[in-house]
Amino acid sequence: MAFGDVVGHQRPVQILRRAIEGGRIHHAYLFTGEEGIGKRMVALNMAKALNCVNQQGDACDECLSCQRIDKGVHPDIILINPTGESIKIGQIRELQQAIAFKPYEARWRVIIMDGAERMTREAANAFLKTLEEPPGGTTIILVATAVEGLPATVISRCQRIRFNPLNPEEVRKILSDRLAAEEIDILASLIGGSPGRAVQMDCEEVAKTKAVLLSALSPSLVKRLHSAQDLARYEGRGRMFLEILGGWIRDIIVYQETQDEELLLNRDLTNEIKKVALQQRTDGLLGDFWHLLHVQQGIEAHGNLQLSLESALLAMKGS
Amino acid sequence: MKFVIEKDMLQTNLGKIQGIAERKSTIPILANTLISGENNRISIVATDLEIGVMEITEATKMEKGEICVSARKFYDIIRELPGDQIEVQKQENFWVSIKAGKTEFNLPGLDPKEFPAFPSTEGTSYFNIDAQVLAEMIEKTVFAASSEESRFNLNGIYIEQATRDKKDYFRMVATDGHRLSMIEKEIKTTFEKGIIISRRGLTELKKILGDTEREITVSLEGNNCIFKTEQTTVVIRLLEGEYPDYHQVIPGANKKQVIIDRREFIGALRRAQVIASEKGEGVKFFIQEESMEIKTGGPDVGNVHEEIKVIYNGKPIEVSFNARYLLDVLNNIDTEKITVNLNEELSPGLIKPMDREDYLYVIMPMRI
Repeated sequence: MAFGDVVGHQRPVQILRRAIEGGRIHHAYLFTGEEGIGKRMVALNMAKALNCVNQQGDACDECLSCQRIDKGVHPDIILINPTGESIKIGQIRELQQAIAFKPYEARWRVIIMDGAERMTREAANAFLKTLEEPPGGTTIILVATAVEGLPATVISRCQRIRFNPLNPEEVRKILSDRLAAEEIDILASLIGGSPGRAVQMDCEEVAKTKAVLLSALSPSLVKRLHSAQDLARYEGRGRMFLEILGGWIRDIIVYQETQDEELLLNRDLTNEIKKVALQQRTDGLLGDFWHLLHVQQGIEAHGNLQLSLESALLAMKGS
Repeated sequence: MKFVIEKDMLQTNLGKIQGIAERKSTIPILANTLISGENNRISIVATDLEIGVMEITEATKMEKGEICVSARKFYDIIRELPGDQIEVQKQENFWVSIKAGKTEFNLPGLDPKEFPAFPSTEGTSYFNIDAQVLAEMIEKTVFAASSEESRFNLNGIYIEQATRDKKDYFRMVATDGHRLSMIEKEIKTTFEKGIIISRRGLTELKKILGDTEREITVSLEGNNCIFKTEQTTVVIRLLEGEYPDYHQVIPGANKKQVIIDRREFIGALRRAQVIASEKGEGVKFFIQEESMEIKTGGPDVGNVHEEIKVIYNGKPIEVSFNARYLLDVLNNIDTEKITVNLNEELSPGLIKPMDREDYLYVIMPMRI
């Protein structure tokens, strides 16, 4: 895979390609953006493009250098991942020892630190000197989802490149190799702009949870409470349900405003959405949506799952 | 890929690379050896990315190609095989078969393309050095290199081309900030600027090439320094960074020169060390005409006091050094007498072998 094959992320890719073409590669980059949208993949492509034997400013995918990076055996492309919960100072020391040597064979040595926000404070402090002034011919790419987790001293030493979530069409395009269209329909409302998230999800589990949706919104409050009880049995499912519910409300509102099926996330539920859209008032739905967000925040703050689900379901205007 | 080879020859060559391939690494392929064959010669390569070794040896019934198998497993198998002719052949999916007499082994291998490239050694300018001389130079310097983790450039040995009195010298320097060692031999090198090689690299080099009688060809290629004999090539990756200006540390000759018998001095220091090891290795020397008093100790650890004969005719001087550093130096000198040049109480001491100019040591004094 090369820069040319990257779906979406036009701006980040453009910035990086220009840097390579102009020969002005920054010593440290910070890639930020949601989980699973391809930051690490772009970082690896940067490493390939910097070292490709055949092409200038992009990867050819054929030369030894490109192949070795793809297989993860290139001696000068160093990947650092959290061990357990965090990236520890020992890993930073090991890295510093490794880069005390000149590169083995690469034109550009690239260090990719995935999950940089999970560096311990000691690790981050030990890393500062390297980050500020890596040896010549070396560039460091920090990949992080939550920039808030990084010390300001780290952020200020890097050129920050923001990655936006992909739009639904781009997500579909990326996932089309791995998942059937129907599966993507089922997952679409949950994955947002992040294909990586879809790959981790169990499609059957999502389908089951989604099946609860219509009964959970039935006019009978007893049925709703029963659904809430069922969903609360597994924490993962309960949370997932609330996300699905959010996507559902969003779809109804979108359809009311645009009457465009193409814009719906839950294409597997198109008929139901159309039906409900005719019955409900938009402002009421918006109220539901805000309430839902409130409930979700409550769960994040360790609120009781069943109570939260009950609260969310009872407040909904129903289908 | 296929070849037939004498067992002993293969075993010896595989033995030489074990130390390199065995090192623990995060990249699994480095535990393997890459064997390539062409024109009735095979090359056996192992690397840990810091040091790479290639052994070239003869084989027969050659079919060109490459295999990549676990260095340890392959070696263990070869050692245990009966007979004296071994046939090695590449199979499907990178598997390798090894046959001798009626025994046949099959080993899973890896894609040779995944093995890190061995730096090319062709077409670079080079110079020759006697293997024994190189081994001596390494031995006399490496001990002074730092092992501190934060100053990686001092963990290495600085190697450069020096010119003195219109003669060219090949020079090695090592220092950890407390002591310095330097040796030079009159050899014209092809180094345009100084390089830094890790202590481990040079120690391994000495192990691998130190016992050959032949000349070694030395060259620089990209980020590597290459040491080569007909049969063996050792490639060492250079360290990054600038080496500090060591010239400033080396004191010039002065009048306060003491001549000491090396063995006597070692004996006295080892005795003093029994006590000094509990006092941060500090030992005091009081030098006056014809005698040097060595003393160390304290109220809690006891004390020792000894006097040895020296040749000295300056003003009395008192100075303290680390006993272990002094012993490291004295053990690496091979003349009977040594000279120590001192200046003031807190200025560095210059230690040289008597009547030899090719190597020297500098030790910083201690404040006791």
